[in-house]
Amino acid sequence: MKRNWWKWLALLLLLYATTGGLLTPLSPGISAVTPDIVPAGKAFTLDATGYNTRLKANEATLTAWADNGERQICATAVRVKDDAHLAIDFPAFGNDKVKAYTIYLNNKADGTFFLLNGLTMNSDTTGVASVTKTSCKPAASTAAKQDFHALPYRELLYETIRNLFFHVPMWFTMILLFTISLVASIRYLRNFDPEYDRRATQAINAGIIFGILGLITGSLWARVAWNTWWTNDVKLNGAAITMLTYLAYVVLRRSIDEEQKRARIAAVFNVFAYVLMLVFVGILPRMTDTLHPGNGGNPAFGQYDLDNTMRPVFYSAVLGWMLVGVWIYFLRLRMHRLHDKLPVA
Amino acid sequence: MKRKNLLLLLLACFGPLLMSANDSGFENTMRASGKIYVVYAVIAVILLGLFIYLFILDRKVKKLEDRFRDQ
Repeated sequence: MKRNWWKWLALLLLLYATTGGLLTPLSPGISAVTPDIVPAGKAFTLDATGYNTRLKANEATLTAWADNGERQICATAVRVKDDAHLAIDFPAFGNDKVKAYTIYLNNKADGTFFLLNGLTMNSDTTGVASVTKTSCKPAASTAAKQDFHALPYRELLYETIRNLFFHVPMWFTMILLFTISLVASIRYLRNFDPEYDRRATQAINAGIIFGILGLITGSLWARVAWNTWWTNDVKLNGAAITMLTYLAYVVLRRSIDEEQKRARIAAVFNVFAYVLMLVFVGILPRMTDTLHPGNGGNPAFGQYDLDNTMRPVFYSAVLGWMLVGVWIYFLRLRMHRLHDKLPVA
Repeated sequence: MKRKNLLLLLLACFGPLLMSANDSGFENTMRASGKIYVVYAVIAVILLGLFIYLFILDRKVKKLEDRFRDQ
């Protein structure tokens, strides 16, 4: 029991991460407005659909406005139908250079939420006068704040933002195990003790399973977020190349019969494989634009990718899965220590 | 032996995924209610993958035990 405390810690962390990751609600958002294209110069009514909103209960404090970055246009009236549906009356929009408007809503319980560029003015606005700037946006200091703890609402992602707690720790665990393997390989090259060869191999074997799980879960997520199982993205291809490199390590070992030769070649290959992984997963994706968060122009740990509400859950998940990975590695290692004690058949 | 296991693991993980991809209802199900089913599917894949892995490991330990008993 005393020796196993970290395994129980892993269980606790994963229980916390899974329940926290699944039960924390999503912040309120606007999932759609209709119509999404309207002519300029004419007053119109917008039907908006909210997500996780409590519009009816907070009808009295509800304000709505549209903003295109140049000017704000306030709604003349807001009619709430139920907690998730409302109609917004807007005055005629003027002739503006920027045609895309973001629709904002604010109420006492849900705080401020919006649909980014949810509304487009008809591009033909000749003969329409520009309207003067109005202001109805509550000042930042007095604006109502969302009154509950929630995960960020992101368009396209919606509830799948929770996958951050499951998909990303797979890769972190893989990288940890490959790092353990790198250290073991370097130590093997210093003193040629077969124990380090065993450690390097088993850490890679345990790491590969997490890499495969990372690929499958990522692919599933991509299907729904990006509408494709796989795309030629730098990060995705880098991850695939990394997996192939480490699978090549396994194949390489199996192709060399002589034990010492196998261990030495594998150790050198492992050092190169690790450098390749750093380049393909860590460096190249940061130098270009990619779809995948955590890279060039799309940084991880940014304000939206890893909101403060997500940090405790995310870090618990990472530590929990890392401990599980290390556990699997230890099991494999112990198994192979026994295996290598057997007389050669 | 190891290679066969890996292939088995890949098949077991991708199999249900590929089968469901042909199902026309799949897309709609996945996109319903804020795409929450994707999260469930991801958790299921991880659990399934790890359990298959544990079973494979279990079988290897069994073989090792058998060899110890034989000698």
